[in-house]
Amino acid sequence: MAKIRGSDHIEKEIVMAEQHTFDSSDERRREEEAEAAGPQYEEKNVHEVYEAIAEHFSRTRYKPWPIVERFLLSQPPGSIGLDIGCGNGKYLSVVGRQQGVFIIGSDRSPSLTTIASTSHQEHDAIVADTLSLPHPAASFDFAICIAVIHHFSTRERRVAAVGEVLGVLLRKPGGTEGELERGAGRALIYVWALEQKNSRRGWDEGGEQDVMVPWVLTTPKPAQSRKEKKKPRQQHGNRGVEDKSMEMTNEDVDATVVDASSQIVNPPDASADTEKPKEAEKNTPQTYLRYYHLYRQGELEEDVVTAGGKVVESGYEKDNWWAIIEPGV
Amino acid sequence: MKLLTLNFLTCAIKTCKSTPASFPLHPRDAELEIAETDLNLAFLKSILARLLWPELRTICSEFGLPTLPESRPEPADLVDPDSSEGEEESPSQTARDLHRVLLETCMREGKLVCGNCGHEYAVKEGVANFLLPAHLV
Ligand SMILES: [Zn+2]
Repeated sequence: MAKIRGSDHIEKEIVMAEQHTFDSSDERRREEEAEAAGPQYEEKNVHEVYEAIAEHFSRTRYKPWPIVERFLLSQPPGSIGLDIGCGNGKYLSVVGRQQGVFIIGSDRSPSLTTIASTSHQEHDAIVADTLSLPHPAASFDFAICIAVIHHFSTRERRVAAVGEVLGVLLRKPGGTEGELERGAGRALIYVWALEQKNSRRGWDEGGEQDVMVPWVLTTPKPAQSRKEKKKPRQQHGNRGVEDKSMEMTNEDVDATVVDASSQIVNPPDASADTEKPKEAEKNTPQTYLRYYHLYRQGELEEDVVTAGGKVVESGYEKDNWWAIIEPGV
Repeated sequence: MKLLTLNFLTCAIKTCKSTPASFPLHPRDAELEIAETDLNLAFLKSILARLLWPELRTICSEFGLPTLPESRPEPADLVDPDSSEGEEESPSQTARDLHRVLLETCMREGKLVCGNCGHEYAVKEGVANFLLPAHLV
């Protein structure tokens, strides 16, 4: 990503793989809460968080994943596509007019959408809800929906979201005379996997699927103490391409993870504990919790079929399940 | 927001989407700006077939822009006939007009109104917002 704005924010990473203490009554409460008020639950536990962390989040999202890149590069010239849940628009830089491709990105967060639309001027970006997309049905050659569907808090809403993605795709060979004959439109969907044996998050098969994942943000004092300057964590501010640690990962490599039913997270604040109370207060990191549904193996395909779609290809890559889908007949 | 994008936008309300009156959305109090960008002839040719031409003409006339030709141009119409053979094709006036309308003319401020339900979507600083109030979802 070429345009990275400077900022005073620094990320504080918490390396602590907290064990999930799964409590079935807490979980039932969470489910009830989510089912009774899915949109409000997600407003508080997803949308408000992204809005608050938009700028910082955006600076850590710059490297496209290979399978997404491959999917985008395989679109023939003249393809019109959607990037549903485009965030800062990192995938809008993969293809452009050179490849004859035009993409409309959409995101629920106005702040992220503004970043996307100003940094990727070959395409366009709008603020929209994935469950209420403002696009005519069956109009697009392709769509990508990366790291979005796992934020919906009930299965019904996740299936509805997949259905919304399927709904915008072209249904049959179409176009006017002389045009390259097209098949149905296809979408690539990525969701976070429950099976993450090799990540530090400590999730795996059989574990809790509904979790809260913190994003920790600190705003440093104008004049930093020497102690803070020495901290290596400031590399996040403008990571160069030489840092490979972020490029394949999905989200928040070092996040503390808590069960979605837990209410409180107390991030250990190692940098502030020796400061004078007043200064420490100023520098208190803010922890934002985002809700995720972690997909178990096969679950994404089940949701696609329930939504009336067909799975063309699917797989696992770096802590994520992905599927290329098209509308069913 | 580019006018090309408007060719792919309709009302976000589910019951509206299936009605013809909801597409295209109608600009109101629109402020346009021109953001110049390089013309890519191959790109224009390749997306021609994907444009909904009568709707695009409607959008242009509602913005008070010069009228587009009545029928959709063919890819060959976008090439300057004076381009000499063997050299790189140069864009015709039609191509330049189309480039200006689709990719350089941007809606900066204003509203987009659904012709079916009358709902207004705000466009601010070039970004249209299609989030619906809870009672319309
Ligand atoms: Zn409407």
